[in-house]
Amino acid sequence: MKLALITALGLGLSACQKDALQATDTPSDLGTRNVSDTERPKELFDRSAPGRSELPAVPAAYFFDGNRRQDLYLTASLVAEFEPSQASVQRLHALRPEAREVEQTQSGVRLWSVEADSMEVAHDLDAAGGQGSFSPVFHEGAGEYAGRCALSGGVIVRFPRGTSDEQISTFLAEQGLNGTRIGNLGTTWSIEGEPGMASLELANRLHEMEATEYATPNLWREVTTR
Amino acid sequence: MNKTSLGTKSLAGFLLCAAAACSGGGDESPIPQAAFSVSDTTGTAPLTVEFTDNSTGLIDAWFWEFGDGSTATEQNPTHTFTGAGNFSVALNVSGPEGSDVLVQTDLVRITESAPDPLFAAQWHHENSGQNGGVPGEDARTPEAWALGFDGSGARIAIVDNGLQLSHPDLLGNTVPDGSRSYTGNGTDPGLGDHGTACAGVAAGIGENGIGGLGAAPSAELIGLGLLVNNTIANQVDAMTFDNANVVVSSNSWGPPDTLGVLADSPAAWRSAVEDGITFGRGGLGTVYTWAAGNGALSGGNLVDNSNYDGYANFYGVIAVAAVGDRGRQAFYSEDGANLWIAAPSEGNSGQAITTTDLLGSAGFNNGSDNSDYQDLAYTNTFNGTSSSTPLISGVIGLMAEANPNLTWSDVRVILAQSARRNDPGDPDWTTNGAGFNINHAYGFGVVDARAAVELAQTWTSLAPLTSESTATISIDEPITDNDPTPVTALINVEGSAINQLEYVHVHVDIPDHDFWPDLEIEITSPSGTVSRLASPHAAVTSSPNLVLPRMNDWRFGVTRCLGEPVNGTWTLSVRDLVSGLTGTVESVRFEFYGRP
Repeated sequence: MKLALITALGLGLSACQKDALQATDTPSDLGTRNVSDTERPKELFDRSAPGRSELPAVPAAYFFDGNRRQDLYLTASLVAEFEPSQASVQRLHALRPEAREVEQTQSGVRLWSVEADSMEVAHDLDAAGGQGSFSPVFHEGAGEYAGRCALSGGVIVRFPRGTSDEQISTFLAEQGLNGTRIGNLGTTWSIEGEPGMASLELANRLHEMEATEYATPNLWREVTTR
Repeated sequence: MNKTSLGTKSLAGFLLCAAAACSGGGDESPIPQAAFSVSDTTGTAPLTVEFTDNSTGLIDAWFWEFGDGSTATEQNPTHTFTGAGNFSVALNVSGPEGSDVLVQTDLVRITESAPDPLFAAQWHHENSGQNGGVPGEDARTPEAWALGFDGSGARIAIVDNGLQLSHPDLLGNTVPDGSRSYTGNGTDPGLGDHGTACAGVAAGIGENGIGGLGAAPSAELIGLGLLVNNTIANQVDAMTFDNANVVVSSNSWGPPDTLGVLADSPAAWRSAVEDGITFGRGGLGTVYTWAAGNGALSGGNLVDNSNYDGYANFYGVIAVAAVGDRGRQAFYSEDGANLWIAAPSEGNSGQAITTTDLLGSAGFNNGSDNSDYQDLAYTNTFNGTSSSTPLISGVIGLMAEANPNLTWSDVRVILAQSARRNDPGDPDWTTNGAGFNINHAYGFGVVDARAAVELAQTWTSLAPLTSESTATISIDEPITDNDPTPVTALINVEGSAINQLEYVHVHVDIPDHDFWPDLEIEITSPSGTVSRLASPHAAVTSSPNLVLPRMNDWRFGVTRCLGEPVNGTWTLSVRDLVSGLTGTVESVRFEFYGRP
């Protein structure tokens, strides 16, 4: 037994109101199992990863997922194209003739490999205007196998339960923002905004405001069927 | 169908009508304008259809012709079509200012009830030993159908990469204009092969003489094409779409499998699911089914656990594992303390699931595999926890028909109570403090549709679920590398009002371990139930630096304490069983969901 920890505990209550729970002393000895040493399996470490690239050691940005700060790590050479169209591809190829599409499963977004800083490429493409929009591609965590994501535009804001639509509309108007409630349940709103870093900055600003429960950029995320 | 208006004919003079007998009023024109809607347009004979008058104007008489020689004069009649054919329905309304007739040509299409030719291959319904399967290792859906339930009235949302609404074995069950595209604002979710296959497993039409059938062969289907544009906003929309009507949201997707890393769900998705279980179906709650994951093994190495998936380990969902035609864990199906139930899918024998496929060669069955069906509208290759999940969704559709007042929580407790203990020789089976059979590979066992429906029929709804959470409990103890002796934290809880747990979230914070897959993490409840949250496993990394997303306050889900009390000593045990890297157990935090 390495540690017998006796911990004081008080319950923070959420859905129901109760008195705080009391801490008491507890028995300290727990059995352990004998497990022989194992070796870390090696097979997966060198698995090829088409379309993946080395990540920098430090995060490029952060956002809040709920109340948890989440770092984003930039992929050096991938940009995401939203509302894909032939016109936007032409715009991309005009700027980066070497751009090549990277295979993934979602037709609502295309990923492009470019031989340039993806942050700058996305910025330059959007600055040029025109149909479609671009974002650098990130990973939600250190390591290239953390989930890929991109800033599809806009911000998702959760307001405290009980906040009326009128109160939210007033708040958004005060901030100079346009938004709509998503669905007819709850207090989650979609705030209009351009793809790319602007939406992340807006999300972080809104997150810090008292009126919001949390705010997060409207990320596109990589998922798979099972 | 064609809509033919025969115009308005003015009548001389006028009649006063009793208010109760007149439609319309207010600022509307008093001239009658015929309109109606129907509860069903396709099915097998006999099919009972409810007709609803939506006419406007001053109306004092209704005359319906159903196309089969029958007529009615009620305002909102019900009619049973007893023979096959396409039937044009006419409504003639009249009042003091005139009359109007609306004819909807070929509105109701009835086919003779006929066996589904591929049913015999659908061993997941009835395993009679097809291709070496073990008889009885199935979902027992035919026994539930025999009780008189086919999912009528239950709406199932297939959240996936699309759904072919025009598929002849799905069309009659799809809700007109009820689906959703996420690449525009349309109601066509797109031609998704995977979603179409899932839809067939859940609610493929039965007794229509073609293909096979789903678990709830008369349930309503909508398709939500989220996976072609998976933004957080679209996730929120898909989880709450049509929430007044959707009984089950069937989700056969998640973060990429076979990576061995932690992949959380967005907070906004979790909020949406909480909204759905709280407010959906008028407060009964939408039921969310979730594929547990297919990444258990790679190259012979243990890789994923369903608890590394932040969608499948959330308390608001039912995580579904897969068993094969021998009743054993499919090789790919992930273990997890978060699993609720298991259902048949392709297992280690290779016998997969027969279901609907995209028409033509665009689907799984493209004609190149001689062992698949000649009719490319069907495939016998569907598999994964993807297939198990809509099977559970269909069974829930049957339960909802048997008892429309079931809450989302009732549904899953019934599933747990009625589950069948499969693979009896598996050493992981144990009994928890409330008497439930539990297994890290199967949850509470394999679904038993008949038992679930029977239990649903007489079920008295449980008290609402409440939640309690602890503060973050600091531990701050280093883990010795490659040492079977664990860091152990004893956490005593008193004063909780929850005596019957339904779900536990255990947040574990080990932020500085450079390779947390070296760890074994277990939690033991006061009743003595041991739940394995993580096991040493392989993971893909940024080789050679072994950089992984860290275990920062990671939420593990635990179903295995169902029915147990909260109060008492909880034990967290962490040990590093692989040499090379280590870290510190910083803290733990609990969220308990249950009832007094």
